[in-house]
Amino acid sequence: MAEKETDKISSLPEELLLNVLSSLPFKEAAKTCILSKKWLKLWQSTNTVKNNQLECNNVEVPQRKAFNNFIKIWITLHKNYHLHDKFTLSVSPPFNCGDIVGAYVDFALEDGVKDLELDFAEAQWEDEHPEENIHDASVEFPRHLYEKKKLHQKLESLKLHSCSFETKNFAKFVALKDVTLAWIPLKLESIRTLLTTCEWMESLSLKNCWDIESFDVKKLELKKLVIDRCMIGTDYIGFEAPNLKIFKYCGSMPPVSEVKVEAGTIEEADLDLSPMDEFFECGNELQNFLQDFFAANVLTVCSVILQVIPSGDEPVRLPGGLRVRHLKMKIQMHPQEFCGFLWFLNSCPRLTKVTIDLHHCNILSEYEAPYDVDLKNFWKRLPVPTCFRRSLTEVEMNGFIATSDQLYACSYFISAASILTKLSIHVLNNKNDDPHTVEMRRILASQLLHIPKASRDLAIIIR
Amino acid sequence: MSGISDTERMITLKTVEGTLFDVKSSIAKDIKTVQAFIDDSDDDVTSPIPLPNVFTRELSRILDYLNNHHRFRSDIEKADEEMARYDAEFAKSMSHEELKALILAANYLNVKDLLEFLNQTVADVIQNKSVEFVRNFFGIENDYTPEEEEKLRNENEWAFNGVEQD
Repeated sequence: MAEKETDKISSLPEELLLNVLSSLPFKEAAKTCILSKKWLKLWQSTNTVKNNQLECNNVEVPQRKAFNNFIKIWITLHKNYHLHDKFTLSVSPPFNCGDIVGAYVDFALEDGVKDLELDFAEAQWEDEHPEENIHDASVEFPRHLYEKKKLHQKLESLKLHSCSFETKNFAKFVALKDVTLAWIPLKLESIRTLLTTCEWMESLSLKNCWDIESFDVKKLELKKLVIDRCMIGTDYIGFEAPNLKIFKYCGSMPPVSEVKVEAGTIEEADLDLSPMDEFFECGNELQNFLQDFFAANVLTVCSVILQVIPSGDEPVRLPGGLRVRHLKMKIQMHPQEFCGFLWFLNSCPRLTKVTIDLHHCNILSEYEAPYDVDLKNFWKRLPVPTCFRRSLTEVEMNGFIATSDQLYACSYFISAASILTKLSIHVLNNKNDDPHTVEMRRILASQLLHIPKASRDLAIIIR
Repeated sequence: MSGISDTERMITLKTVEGTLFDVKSSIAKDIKTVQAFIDDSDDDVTSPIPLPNVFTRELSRILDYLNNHHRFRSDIEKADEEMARYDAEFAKSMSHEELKALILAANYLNVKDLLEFLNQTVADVIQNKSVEFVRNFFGIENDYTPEEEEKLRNENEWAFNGVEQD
């Protein structure tokens, strides 16, 4: 039997073997050349390998020379084939890799690409404390690329991680829409230059950048702006962005913000303070920041925001409210989040949908409740927010593990939201979860079906 | 044709062993080989469509896969998550031999999505495995001399760095 099957597979048409080959990452595909002469030929003939994504993470320094040689051979074999869409090169650790970058990038970009990513950041940087995360750019953006005419017209998306560059040269990339800069020092002046020289740019993401004196950029034409764990000297973010649709912010503190976005244009704001170290009473600053995005349709907030937001002058709700229709909360339903949970429901009178993504969160030490509240008996007598009566029709809970507070939160929606039509509960079922545990979560969730419903049309779906 | 709107039209498929499977026409659309057969016949297909290269075991698994994917797709909201979970289970439940047999069947029937998924599954199986493992897996006979193999290995040393030992 086994022999018969083996025969079958070795007679697989080459085209099928090529398919498998093209599903492999570059390095893995390269290894198949040693299987047999047929595979060496296959490997040499393929131009569909995921070779637009070359990763040589953890290639030891002594191996670099061998890798370089390999690239040279590969390039001669494939010299008639060039990339057109996407090219990703990530090298980690990034020492002495100038040669690789030179040889490979030159070859890959012969005809220009739409999407270029050069990543020289080390994976473990992610885990380090943001303040310690200062690593000089490992590699310089290959200078001659600024002069490559084919790239000028074509390049739409550029992502540079720990790769230094000359801002003014970006002006030549007239098709550039989307720029991501990560793990580099960045002066406010460079950001301004970038924004004015590439005024056709639509999206800018800054990730783990430092040295930014302040983010004071006046007029912003962007549609999307991401500021992710950057160190901004004065913690100031100020701009007027009439076209901005999406704004994402992640940091350990709410910034001092003077942001003007257009109601009707701004769609989504995603605010994340999860890197905060310990509880800090910054409710007022956070409320100011939030108020700048009051017109967003979709608002995403994290556990830390829920813990901190009621600590300001308005512990119950934001006066005037937010226009948010879809509220996404990334929380774990911990008692420290309760007051903030209620704060947001109270502050969003037009809310139609709530999505709660449950997972393990940063529960701050030194937490102090904003007002006299018995967190143990929190769920017993709760007010009914306006949106429960007027607008809220759908609630979704993902990653449900049936803690008592998660169950209480569900029953709060069931028994108090009077026009709710759908409550979906997605029980957490990870690969490594014990089937009994998962079953127990389901059983506990199904108890919710017996709770008297405030809305006649409510369907409760447990998956 | 207009008479059949509430109940979907069914198509019958016949495997090598002669087993018959009834398939909804919406599912048959994803099986390009079957769809081509239907398109080529002028009348309604009433008699079973013979599949001379497909065994019962494989066809039943493929239909299972397609039915489930159709079901997921009808509920847009959670489609991706449910599908990913199902796919992971599906991949896990196959022995290597079954996997190979299924690739041949999916290729013959021309079920593009499934084939792509199976290719990725094979790719996942052979990643980071020793050369011997992969040769065994595909049933490849090594036709290199030891010297040739050694030379290739040296040339591509970087790629073999970190492989599990044979």
